[in-house]
Amino acid sequence: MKFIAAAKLPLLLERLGRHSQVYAPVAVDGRVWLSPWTGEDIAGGYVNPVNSLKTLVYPQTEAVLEFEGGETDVTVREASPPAPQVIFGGRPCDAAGLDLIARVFMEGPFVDELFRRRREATTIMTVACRQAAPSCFCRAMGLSPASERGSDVLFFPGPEGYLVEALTEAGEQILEQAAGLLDDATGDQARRACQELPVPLAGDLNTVRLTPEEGFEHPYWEHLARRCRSCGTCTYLCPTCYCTALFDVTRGTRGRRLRGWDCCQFKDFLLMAGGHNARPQKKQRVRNRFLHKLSYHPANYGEQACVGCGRCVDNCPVCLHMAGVLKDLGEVERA
Amino acid sequence: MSERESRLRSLAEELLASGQVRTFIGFGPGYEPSRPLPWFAQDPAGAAQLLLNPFCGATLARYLLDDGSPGPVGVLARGCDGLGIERLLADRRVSRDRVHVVGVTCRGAVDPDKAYREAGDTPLSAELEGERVLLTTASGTREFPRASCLYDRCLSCADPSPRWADDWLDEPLPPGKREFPDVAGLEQQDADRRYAFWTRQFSRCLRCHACRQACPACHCVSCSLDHPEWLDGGISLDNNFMYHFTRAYHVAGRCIACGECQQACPAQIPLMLLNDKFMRDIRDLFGVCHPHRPQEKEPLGQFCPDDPEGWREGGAQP
Ligand code: SF4
Ligand code: SF4
Ligand code: SF4
Ligand code: SF4
Repeated sequence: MKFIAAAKLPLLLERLGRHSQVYAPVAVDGRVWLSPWTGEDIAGGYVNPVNSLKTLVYPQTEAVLEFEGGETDVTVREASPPAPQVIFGGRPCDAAGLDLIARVFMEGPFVDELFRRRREATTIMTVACRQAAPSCFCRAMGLSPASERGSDVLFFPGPEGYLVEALTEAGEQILEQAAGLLDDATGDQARRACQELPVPLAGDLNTVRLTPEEGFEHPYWEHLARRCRSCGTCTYLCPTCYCTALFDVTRGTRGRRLRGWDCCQFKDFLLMAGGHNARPQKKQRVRNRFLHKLSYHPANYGEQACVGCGRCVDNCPVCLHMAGVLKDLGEVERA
Repeated sequence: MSERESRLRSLAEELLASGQVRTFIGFGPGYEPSRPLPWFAQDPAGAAQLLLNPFCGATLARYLLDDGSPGPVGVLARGCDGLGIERLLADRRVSRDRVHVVGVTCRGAVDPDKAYREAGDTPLSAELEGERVLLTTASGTREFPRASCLYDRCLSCADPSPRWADDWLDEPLPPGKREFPDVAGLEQQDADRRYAFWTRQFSRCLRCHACRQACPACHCVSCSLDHPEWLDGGISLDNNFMYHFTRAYHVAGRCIACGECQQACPAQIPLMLLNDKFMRDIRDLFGVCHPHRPQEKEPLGQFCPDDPEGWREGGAQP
């Protein structure tokens, strides 16, 4: 294992920035965001950035292609391939979340080329956690403040700097580029501190599974949905939500086809051509979010679509969140 | 249990038992004591769980839009909830005979995030005493200044009680005067600095619509922000500006200053600054003393043939 002094971290990012777009945690009006890095102070002391790693690999909207033409001839140009990027400062839960959605986009017979290109152009330098928020529940979801899943390099923060461990080939390449900035590690307290960090919401929540047959018409969904406001906060902040919309934006004879996030909580999420809405009621939409994460996703991929990052816990304006639902469902099952 | 809380429970129970209301909307137990949840009591057992304490946060008026059940709905109303209900009535989205308002006088709601930051631990209970807030955590009770614990909206609140109610839990307090201190600060900056400020704010907008969905004035059945012919879904700075121009103009003259949009925003965009700017201008240009309270004659919501329209006749713009 290697060590990098805190003062040398900006030098490393600068070096990586010669060939890649670098992102780092930066405080903007009091909250930390993973932002394009151009030498700003690298934020510390945050638990999790507002935006998850997902947002940089699967952007909120991106161009699929551009087109121009009249009624008979149309020229179509594919969007240019993404530039290489290095992201420093995401947390282990988010790196796991990125790996989780990468399975959706890249495993199986249909590979999503847009996602694949950007994922493959991205190197993830995760910083393990030395503090957890009251809303964190990674351990309950089978992860930990030091989990390796989805990361290329793992940084363990200590008082003077970081222990650095490469986990993949891309990670090894980063360490090669860091030559001269790294020392040999003298101990592994920082790593152990991360591994042993207590996380407030514990338990074996990752064994909770819902079977739609049993739970589909449970009055619980109605009870839960009454307070939902049908906004996009929970799904847009979630590192494991991946619903996609495809749409054209046209101006005169030119246009772009964009692909971007959709949100199952919006009232027109399943509004079809012809006017039929397959989920007009809030109850149906809220139920879908949790059944997707706790039933359909586990059925297809063998794991829940939640990594316990706590964003929905912290940000849903009416506290309708995964930690709460998992707790409730534990009770529902026992009852 | 406070006296007001027990009064609320028995009142709600009565209303439900007698069939006067089908649902009673208030606050009930959440996952932690500092975060009571919007609560929809439908029977006496549900009413018995109603809570009333300084952690009751989210505003409730908008839930009146969701209720599909026939017959009236009871709702707990602090000042901000009361104005929200008035907004929905004035905009004819809810009819008066479908809502039964239980008024309560509010001295401010404690923001659990601020309380956690102040106390350094999860707050278990809070009490308001004049300019102080007493926060109790596992390690005891300590005092903090009101200004560092209350929701932003409560710090500038001029409406502790609703203006009317069908039942009261306590004595209403008269409304005060709302000031707009932050607007002047922004106006003093030159256009470039203001543009840079709003660029920084709007560039991080997620277009999650949490602001719209929180707002008792943003209740159109079909919102222009959902229509790609008005605003496409592409995330870009100009689209985000467009989103915010539209939102701010559409609530101008109808915003009730509950601050729920800003409270809901996960990107912490200071939306109230825009809303306040409109309200301050409406006060100064139209001579409306309390622009956030629904008026009999809405300054921007009515057409008067004798309005001065200088710009039409080729004169100077007002
Ligand atoms: S659960 Fe919360 S964050 Fe999600 S749509 Fe409903 S109100 Fe918004
Ligand atoms: S469901 Fe909530 S806690 Fe789970 S990954 Fe998504 S935002 Fe994080
Ligand atoms: S805005 Fe006013 S009435 Fe509403 S919760 Fe705050 S202090 Fe109470
Ligand atoms: S709540 Fe905030 S982030 Fe969401 S759309 Fe409104 S301003 Fe943008």
